[in-house]
Amino acid sequence: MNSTEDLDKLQAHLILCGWKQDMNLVVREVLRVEPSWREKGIVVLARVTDEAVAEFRADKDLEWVQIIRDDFFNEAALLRAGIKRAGRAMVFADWSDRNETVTETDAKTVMAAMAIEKLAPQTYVVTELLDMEFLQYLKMARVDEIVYSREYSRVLLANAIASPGVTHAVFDLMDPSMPTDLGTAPIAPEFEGKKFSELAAHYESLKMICIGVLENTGNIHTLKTQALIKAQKFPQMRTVMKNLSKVKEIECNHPRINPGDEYVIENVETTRAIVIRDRVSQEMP
Amino acid sequence: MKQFPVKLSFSNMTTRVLVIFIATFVSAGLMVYFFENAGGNEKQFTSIWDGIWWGITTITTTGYGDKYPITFGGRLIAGFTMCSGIVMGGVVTGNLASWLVDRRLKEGRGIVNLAGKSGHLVICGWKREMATVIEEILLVDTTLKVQDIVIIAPISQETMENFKHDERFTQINIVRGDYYTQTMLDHGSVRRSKKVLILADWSDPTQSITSVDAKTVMTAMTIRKFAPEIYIAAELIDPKFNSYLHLAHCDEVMPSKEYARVLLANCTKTTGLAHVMYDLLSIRTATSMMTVPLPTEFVGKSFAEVVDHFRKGRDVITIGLLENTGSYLKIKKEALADAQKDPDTMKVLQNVMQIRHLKSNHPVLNPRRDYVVRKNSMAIVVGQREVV
Repeated sequence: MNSTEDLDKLQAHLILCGWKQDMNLVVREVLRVEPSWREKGIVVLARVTDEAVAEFRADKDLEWVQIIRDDFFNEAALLRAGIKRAGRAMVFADWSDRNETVTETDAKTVMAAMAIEKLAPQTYVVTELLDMEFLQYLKMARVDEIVYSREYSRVLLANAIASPGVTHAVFDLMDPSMPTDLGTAPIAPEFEGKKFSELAAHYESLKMICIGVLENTGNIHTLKTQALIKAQKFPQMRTVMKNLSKVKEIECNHPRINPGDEYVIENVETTRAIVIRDRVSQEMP
Repeated sequence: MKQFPVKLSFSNMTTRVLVIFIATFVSAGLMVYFFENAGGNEKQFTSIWDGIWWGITTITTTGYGDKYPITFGGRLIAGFTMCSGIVMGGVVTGNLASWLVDRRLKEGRGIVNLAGKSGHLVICGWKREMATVIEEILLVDTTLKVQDIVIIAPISQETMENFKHDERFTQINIVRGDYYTQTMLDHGSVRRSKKVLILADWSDPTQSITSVDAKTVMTAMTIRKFAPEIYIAAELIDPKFNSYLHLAHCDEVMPSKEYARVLLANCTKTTGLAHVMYDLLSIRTATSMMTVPLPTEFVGKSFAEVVDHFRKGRDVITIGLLENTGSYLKIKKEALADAQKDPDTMKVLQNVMQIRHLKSNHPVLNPRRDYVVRKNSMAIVVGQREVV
């Protein structure tokens, strides 16, 4: 089904680890949000049944998606999927085997995250978690982003009681068919050291609403390497030591929602503005 | 699961005893008044009210002794009243005690009828993580108390007892039974409730998604039929059932599985989005996204004025407006009335046609600064909960 040659050709592609009940819908949604994955390629790595694969393959529009049928936490399988060259990896909470417990599902996610961290630390990894108790293990595995899918639905239910309509707004912000989008935008270097109010005013002039900033954006490994180099540039040993201990505490992709007008923007190269904008204006700074 | 809840009111026996009780002391009072007046004891019984007052003190076995009969007929009535008082007092006390015990037992078994309850939140369905769901609801809505929540779900008695064993939820009201039947919804007093939340009840893993969602749709339709103005928020697994919920005029639909799918898909494009979303929605973070009612004076004003209103002194960011908020039926009625105000018949027809496409809780995000605020709109803001 997948020739090694085909897989070897892939660069900056997307690896989806694990299987979802409606996998073709998931892949379709991914392509709806980010159509560029069609050119870069998508590899699905999961232990699935023949029927599930046949069902997926019945969707002729997704024929080009590569499927590797193996355990997604298996290092050899991850290497075969080209994890070292991948642009992004997403580890799903694979609950396709309904006999499995939540703990078993999350344990597999943690194992996959650890394997990826070992094989390709520079690859951006997003993981889906069912039980928040496993959060610490994922943090230890230096995962870049965590989706608490169950927690989200619970939080949405609670919001539906206290804040009517919020769930509709949230959904519209993420639905690519809707005119408005929630995303991040780079911050121009001239905003270094400036106040959040100035940044918000700048985006307002571009017809966007800046609702906060995302600190330490990107892959944790790359961020820490850069921060380490920066920390060692000082001649005083004490400052170097202080900076090094700060590097240890770096939390990647840390949002600061509505931080207040007086909040000072720092490290513009790794900080991004969280904006609500029209989808057509997405490429604007 | 079929349940046969028993109505928790005083029994007919108690009502009858009460009627006899009142009738006895009134008639005894009247008779004593006439006997005593005829027998020359008019000083003690100057009016009928004196007779009734004597009847009350005698039947309740209080016996102040301020008035007493001296005639044979009066004493005969007095003896009868005293005996009746003792018997009826016992019956009333016994019935009251039995009613209280019965109520306690039925509450414990989840077969109560809360028909008299009002202004509460009804949750239809059950989740494995129900305790966390309730905990989060109470955290988000600080005005809501545990006793203001009524859960209607087909759970086992053991599940209910385990849940109520948690000291945080001992006062929660649980009605055990199929939440999509009108009988059970009546027992949960849905008609008088403030809001209804229908959960995608997948507590039985042998059920298919279709069956879970079909129950949600049935519940929404049943509620809409007999309580058209109640706010309904429903959780859906498969988005293909969305149209049915719209037909049932459900005010808020949460396609949880689709939501997770869209979020996961967005994470393949936007770095850090999952964390941003979590912070925006979670009640455990300092700042969140929420909807806030707009004072009526903002109707007809521009979005820019709303933005300035929330920003000044409060550091709250307004990201958009939520239109057609509140009860769908009420909004539709209002819109119909407004549409018919136009003298031009063609325009009236056009307006009426537009009402058909009215979407409840419709978000308008990042609108133009000059966008005009409509009636029944709320502001969608990002800020600290306490401040907002």
